[in-house]
Amino acid sequence: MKDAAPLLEVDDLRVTFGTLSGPVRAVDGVSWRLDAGRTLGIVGESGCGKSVTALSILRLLRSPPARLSGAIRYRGDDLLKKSERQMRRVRGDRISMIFQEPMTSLNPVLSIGRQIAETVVLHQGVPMREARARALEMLRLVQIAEPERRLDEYPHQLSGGMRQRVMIALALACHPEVLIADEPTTALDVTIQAQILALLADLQARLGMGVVLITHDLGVVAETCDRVVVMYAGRKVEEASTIDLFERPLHPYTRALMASMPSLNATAARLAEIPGMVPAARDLGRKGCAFAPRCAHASARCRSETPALDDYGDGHVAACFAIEAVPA
Amino acid sequence: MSTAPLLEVRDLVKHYARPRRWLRRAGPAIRAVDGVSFALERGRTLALVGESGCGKTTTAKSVLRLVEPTSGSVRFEGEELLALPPARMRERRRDLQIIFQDPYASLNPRLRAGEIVAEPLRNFPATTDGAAARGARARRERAAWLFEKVGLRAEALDRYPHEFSGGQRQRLGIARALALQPKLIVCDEPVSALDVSVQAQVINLLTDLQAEFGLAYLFVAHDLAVVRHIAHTVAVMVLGQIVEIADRDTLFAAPRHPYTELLLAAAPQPDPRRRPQRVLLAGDPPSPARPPSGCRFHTRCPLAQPVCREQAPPLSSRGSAEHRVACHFR
Repeated sequence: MKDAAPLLEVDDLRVTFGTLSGPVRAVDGVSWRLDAGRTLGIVGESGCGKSVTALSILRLLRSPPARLSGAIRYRGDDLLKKSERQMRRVRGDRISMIFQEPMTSLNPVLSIGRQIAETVVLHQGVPMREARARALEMLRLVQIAEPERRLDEYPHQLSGGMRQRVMIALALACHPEVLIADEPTTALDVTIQAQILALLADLQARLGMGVVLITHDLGVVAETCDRVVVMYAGRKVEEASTIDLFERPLHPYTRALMASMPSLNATAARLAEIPGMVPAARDLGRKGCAFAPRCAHASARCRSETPALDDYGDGHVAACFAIEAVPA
Repeated sequence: MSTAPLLEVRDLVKHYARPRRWLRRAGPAIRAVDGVSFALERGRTLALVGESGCGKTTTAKSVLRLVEPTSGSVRFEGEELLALPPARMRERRRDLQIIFQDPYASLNPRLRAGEIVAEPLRNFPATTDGAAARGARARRERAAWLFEKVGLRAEALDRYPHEFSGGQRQRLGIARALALQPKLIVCDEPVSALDVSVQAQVINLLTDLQAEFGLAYLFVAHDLAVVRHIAHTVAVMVLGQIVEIADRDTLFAAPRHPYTELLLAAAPQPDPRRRPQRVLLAGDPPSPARPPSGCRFHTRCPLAQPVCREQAPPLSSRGSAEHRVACHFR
């Protein structure tokens, strides 16, 4: 029975932060699953809860002030029920994470060889010398030039692209089954972004991990993900296979997001704008569709009632009352 | 009036000397900008694109003398800016404004939004705009007018920068830049910190303002899709030099320089059925302190031949005088 459980499953996750001006519902009933060898994209704008979801998986949010409910199951085991001690065995070993800004996630006073080796020693209890050999092997795996020399260098001596490669090496050193990548290429140049995305795809094919890729860039999603979850203001508003989502976007927000993207091919004089802006933190978790104030198809019902996720075939779900009314 | 272009930059060079360290010799100078030339007409947009460290921002800041260039010439309406004494330069700056990537860092957190936007009017009371807006009341009216132009509500005049969202802060920065009705605005990555939906709003706003006020933009960006929507001319930079410059449609449809080609190919496309098998640029860009000999792209170029290591290719015309490329083979 255990084998039937998905690799990672987020089930009705709710995250609330206690703040001075009252509770803020950053994630509001989000569910999705990730299978081994697959890449799930989570897209959305700032404040949509995509990073909070990622941090919740590894229980990296300090609680309090964060209050979590729902379940996060890794191979059927609820991570939210684990003790901090048990959680430490999961983090960096079974589930790893890479962040947007590698400079702030690497320790500036330790050589990169030491940082990678330390992880291996902690999780796998091997002697330091063996761990150092593993570090070297990891640097080779992420295609860093002159890995022997880099082993003894410090983060400030590396370029942005190289630091991100070190982050990946660090995250993969213990051969995790799940890699969570939170905007891993946002701080990088497009040419370096292409290198890093190709590297991640190659490593995934070789190591068979499941990847959760969090991004705001629909181009990155189109190129790397098998499935996509679109989030808005703490809720999942649409989920589909990548091809289905791009060919048949259903939710007005997904459509508006696609239309507002500047494109290399189109020369339309004006970009389609989404009027207004994302809701403020204090307005999260209110009744009604959070996108209604910016939506061209919103009715009185959208403002008073929260739409549920309906299935439109092939596991393509969307939460909107007006989908039939919206012209394709 | 003269037929000189609004802005003409010639052989611009900016080297940063590396400080001597204790018991060590000074390192080689960092050649951030190394011989850049271009011209920009009234009411047009020239985009400078390239990877981080290629000198695009330094070039743009040199035009305003926010960075003092090492050598070269920057002519604005035919007048040499680099030779101007400080007082004259300050005067001239009312025609040359800038908006920054991080709107929050460029707004004084202790001033109200209305005061931020009206500050240029106080600083330049002798200008027509300044004279018309003498006195707090007139300035406030003018600020309200500017707010309307950039799509902010007049009620927001008394708010502080932290009360605005990222997109609104960028609008605030744009309103401030517009206050003195400048002729040129340097836009340093103005939308790269914004969400996609807000990015479109700001790009459209910049386009509308250009049409209404005849503004010229020197637009620094790394996002080629954004550039495609806003620029008339695009200059691609590698390690302090322009390697290709052309009108927008030519550059995007028929890029000549191998770097331009790779840059265009590297941008991810929102089409999951067409996942490209792209040629990846090998390795990292070399340090601008020790740029490669000959063509600065030869260490990473798929077409490189021995001649590329020995001789720097000149930037020369291809097809038309406006399309110029620095490559031995293209």
